[in-house]
Amino acid sequence: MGRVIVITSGKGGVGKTTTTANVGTALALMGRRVCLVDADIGLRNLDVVMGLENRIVYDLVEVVEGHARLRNALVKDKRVENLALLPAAQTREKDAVTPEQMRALCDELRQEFDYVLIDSPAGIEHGFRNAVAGADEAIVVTSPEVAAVRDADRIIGILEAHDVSEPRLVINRVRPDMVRRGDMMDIDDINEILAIRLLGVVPDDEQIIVATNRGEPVVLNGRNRAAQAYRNIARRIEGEEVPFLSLEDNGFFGRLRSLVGMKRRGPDR
Amino acid sequence: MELDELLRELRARLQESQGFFRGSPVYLEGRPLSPAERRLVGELMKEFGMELSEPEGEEDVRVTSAGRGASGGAPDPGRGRDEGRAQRPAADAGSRADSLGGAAVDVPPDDRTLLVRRTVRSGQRIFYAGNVVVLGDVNPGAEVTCTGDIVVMGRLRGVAHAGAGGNVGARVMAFRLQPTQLRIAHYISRAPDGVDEEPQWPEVASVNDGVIEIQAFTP
Repeated sequence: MGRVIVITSGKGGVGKTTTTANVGTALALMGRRVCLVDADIGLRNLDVVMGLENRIVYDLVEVVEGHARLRNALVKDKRVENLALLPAAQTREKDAVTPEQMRALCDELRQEFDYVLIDSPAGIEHGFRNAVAGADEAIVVTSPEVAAVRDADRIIGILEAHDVSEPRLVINRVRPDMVRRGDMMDIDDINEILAIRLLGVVPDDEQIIVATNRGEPVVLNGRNRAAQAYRNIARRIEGEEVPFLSLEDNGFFGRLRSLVGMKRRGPDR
Repeated sequence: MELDELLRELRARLQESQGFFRGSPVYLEGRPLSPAERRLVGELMKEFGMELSEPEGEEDVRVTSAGRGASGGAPDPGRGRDEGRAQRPAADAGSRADSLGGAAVDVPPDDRTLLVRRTVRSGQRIFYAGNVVVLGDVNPGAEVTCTGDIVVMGRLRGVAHAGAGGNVGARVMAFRLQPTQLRIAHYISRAPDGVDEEPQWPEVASVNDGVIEIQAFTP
């Protein structure tokens, strides 16, 4: 029986879809059977980020309404074995599906897959409630910004009230240079407010934008640090204890600075 | 304010509270209501699981301490409410107290205290007729409103409204007092602009000379 995990955030644009795509792909690369579900009905993005939009024939709403078989709606990824996508509908709206229908769908999916990752829409309304309905676990994604953390806190409060077991946190788009300057919240600041278990920290990386535009999840080819971070998240989900990446800039000037003893330290607490 | 407007607001507030007030006693303050008006209020309260208490004198809120002397003794929590309504004439209260071996302690209804044993997250609200103690933080975007004092054994970062209902002597205390907004009775205050310092020790806010003042907390 598979694990159903919802990836949510409250705030829009912090990286839920990118996280779902990359963590799901990483898990499939590790040999697991993974189904990605796009619960953002009306504003679907997961298909674009995965590069699978040309192959969509049926979508989640048609399955739930009985117009299509689940088997026919699942889009199998040709690059990675055991990875499939259940796309959202682009021409419908959030109320086309009820939480009960989502729960039934997830129960069906978990029979066949080791992991069902649900990409939640932003917000706390109907779309979010649909996405959470079938899940037993949750990953909350935030960026290191006050507004995003505020929304994440709200979401965590709602998840806790919904009895979703201990949500875990992914901090996305971290810019170490800004953190060093004191211009960006660091992990401790965020943890003080959210106080949930940290699952991963992903650095901001231009390659992500390139990759999502191309429809190639960065974990497929990337050797950059964001790809590594996503792969580590997948390993932690599997239960492995993986130390967190150092986000220090280890480029040429970084090494030079530490040699010469001019290594900059973070803000003192 | 017209009564139906009031009732509409009250209904909206009660709906938001999601059953939080179920079982609570309700005391009316303000202008006296006609029997018809009382009935309307009573019906609304009943809808949300609350009983409108009959108009009584002060005697009916005596709480007898169980056993200890006049100097202390916590009121038996399970008996407080029923006891209050059952004891009409003061004489009864006296004789009951004797039989328990302790003195009657006057505990006004607003001195009840709610203990919240977790952090209050953004978007969550606590309403209480009495004092509120939070064992945890109050995150930005969270609200605590009560008629008495507020004590936060953690960081108060949200909105705290003590003395709601007019108690200007109410206070707000926190391990780290850094609210987005502080309200005591009808006074509202926020941190001065441009000040970004984090408090270094526990502090208490109270109204002094018409303004909300914050001082280091010394027990």
